[in-house]
Amino acid sequence: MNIGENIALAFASLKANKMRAFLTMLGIIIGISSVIMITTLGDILKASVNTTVADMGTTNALSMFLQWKEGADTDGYISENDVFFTTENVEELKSYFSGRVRYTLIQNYLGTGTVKGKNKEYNVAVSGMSLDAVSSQSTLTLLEGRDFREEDMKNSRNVIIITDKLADYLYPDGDALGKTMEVKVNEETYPFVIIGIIEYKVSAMSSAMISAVGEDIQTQTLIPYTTVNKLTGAPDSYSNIIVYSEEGIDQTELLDDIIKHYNTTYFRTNESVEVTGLAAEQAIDMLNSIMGTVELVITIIAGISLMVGGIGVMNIMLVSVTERTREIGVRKALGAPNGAIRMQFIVESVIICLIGGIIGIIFGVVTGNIIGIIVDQLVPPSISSIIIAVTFSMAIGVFFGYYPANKAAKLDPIEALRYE
Amino acid sequence: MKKTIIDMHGIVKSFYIGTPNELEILHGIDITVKEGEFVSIVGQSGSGKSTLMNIIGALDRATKGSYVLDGVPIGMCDDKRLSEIRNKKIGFVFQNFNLISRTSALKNVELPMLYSGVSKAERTKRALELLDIVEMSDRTTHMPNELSGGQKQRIAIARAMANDPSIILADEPTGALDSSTGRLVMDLFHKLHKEKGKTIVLITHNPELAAETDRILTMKDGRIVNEEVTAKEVDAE
Repeated sequence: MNIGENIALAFASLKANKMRAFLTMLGIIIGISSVIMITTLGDILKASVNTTVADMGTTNALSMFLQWKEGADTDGYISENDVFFTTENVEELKSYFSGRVRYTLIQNYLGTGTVKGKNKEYNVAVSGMSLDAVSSQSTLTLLEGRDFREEDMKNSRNVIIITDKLADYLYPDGDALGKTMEVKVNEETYPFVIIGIIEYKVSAMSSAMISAVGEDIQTQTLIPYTTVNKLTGAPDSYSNIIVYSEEGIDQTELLDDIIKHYNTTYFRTNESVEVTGLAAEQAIDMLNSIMGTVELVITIIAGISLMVGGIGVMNIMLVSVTERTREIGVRKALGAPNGAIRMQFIVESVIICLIGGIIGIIFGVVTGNIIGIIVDQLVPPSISSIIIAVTFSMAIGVFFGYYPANKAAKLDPIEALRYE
Repeated sequence: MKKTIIDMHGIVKSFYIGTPNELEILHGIDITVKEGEFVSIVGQSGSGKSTLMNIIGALDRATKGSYVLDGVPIGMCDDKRLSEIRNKKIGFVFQNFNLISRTSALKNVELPMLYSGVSKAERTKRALELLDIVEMSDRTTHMPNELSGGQKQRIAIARAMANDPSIILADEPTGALDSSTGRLVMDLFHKLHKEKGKTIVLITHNPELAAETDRILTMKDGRIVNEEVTAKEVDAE
């Protein structure tokens, strides 16, 4: 008796009890589809983190910020006597670490505001950035016009770099450069001369938000950080900066050196704060490890649901063996060896699990990709997880089918024939 | 000299129903059946007929004694070999037909050949031939629940013949049938006996049916108490 005949036999038996077979499969379907969905989601997340990171070009970025000193006696505010990052000490940092530090970015924030278009107001976020902010960051692509120059910074000029998307909204004729644009932030209206247009980019995360809200919440605009200080009256001090290293520099080592440098040179006398930092690399590793843990936990839960499904299969196979005791007796009387009977029931159990597994895979891939479409981050179905799912569902079939099948195989033919 | 198909000596069968109790059902049975014989075993219920049939049919092993079936000493066989013997050398016909449900008449007849590894084409060809012999050619695709008792039994007989066994072992084959269909089934056995030269062992408690066979073995309390060669066969010899 070959495997093809066993498969035909299994299908005939499943066809005879369609509803029962389907309900039994359901456990496997749910288990497998959740595993596939989770791995698809994991892939989507990873891909989106990776594209975001690539977008930001931040694999060699170090984020430096201030933190409270351990045991510092503070009232929750950084005092005026404390030292911040300043234009001066950041410039000094750059020359001190020349060869290792490629670029330093001071970033501040004017706020979110609105720009009047022809018949609509557009939301914008106005950020302050350092000299050469566009050309120095791989995430920003200048399409037209120019970057911030020395004199823009020094004179705190009211110049602005906007995205092509906003430019298209405001100046559909394509003559945005050189125009003066009025931005209303916190009830104040500021005029800015448009000097550059950058490419509008959207990360997977913000695209998810866009599709959830239905429209773009805001587009990014850049002005010199000195202009932000001029407009808001804020001092030339910042609580965080971003340091871009040269290629091939050990991030962790550089980070340690910068922290040490700051804390010994400037912050030694500080009472309440010190400098610390995080390398993007470390952040990505951390993110990946968190995601890995989440994935593992959910996979374990899915594994448990698969096991429950498998027990369901075993249960129904035991029922099936009992129901067909007489048939088993007849088959044995007609010369079926134990092995053939065992194989018949194992094949049946494997077929249940395999069909369930395949339906589960289809369902999991489809739902995973629907989510992928929503967040605009399609990933190809993971072949390895599909192969694992198919193998695993077959293994469940064999594992949970073996006991009932063996029970069937070991039935005494005389007893089985007499079974009513 | 005709070949000996069944050669039984001193067959004892006892069951342990928890030590120290031992229940002896068969107390030393000697039977010899030659090729082409039509033998019946009769006896009241409880006489040990069924136990003897299980041993003849290689479904069970004797506790003591020797049993050689068509040259094979059954006592020496393991389970796998026994199923092979059931498959190739024995054709069972049961009182309640025991067709596999939801399986067509044709597939039912093919079943023993499935286990003996006959190719699909050959299986179907042979099954169709057998269904023709039992005059069921027009019912090949019918399911057992679409057939009458007599039809089912004819399918079962065709199935018993599938691997051309050394012996057909029929256990009360007419027991579940009315007398006219029972008659048809008995006629079929006679046909197989006369035309195909089949060796048949019929187990029954009906003396009229037994009288139609070559030889009657009467069992009582686990022993063969009478052996009678019927007059009809003597005349024929």
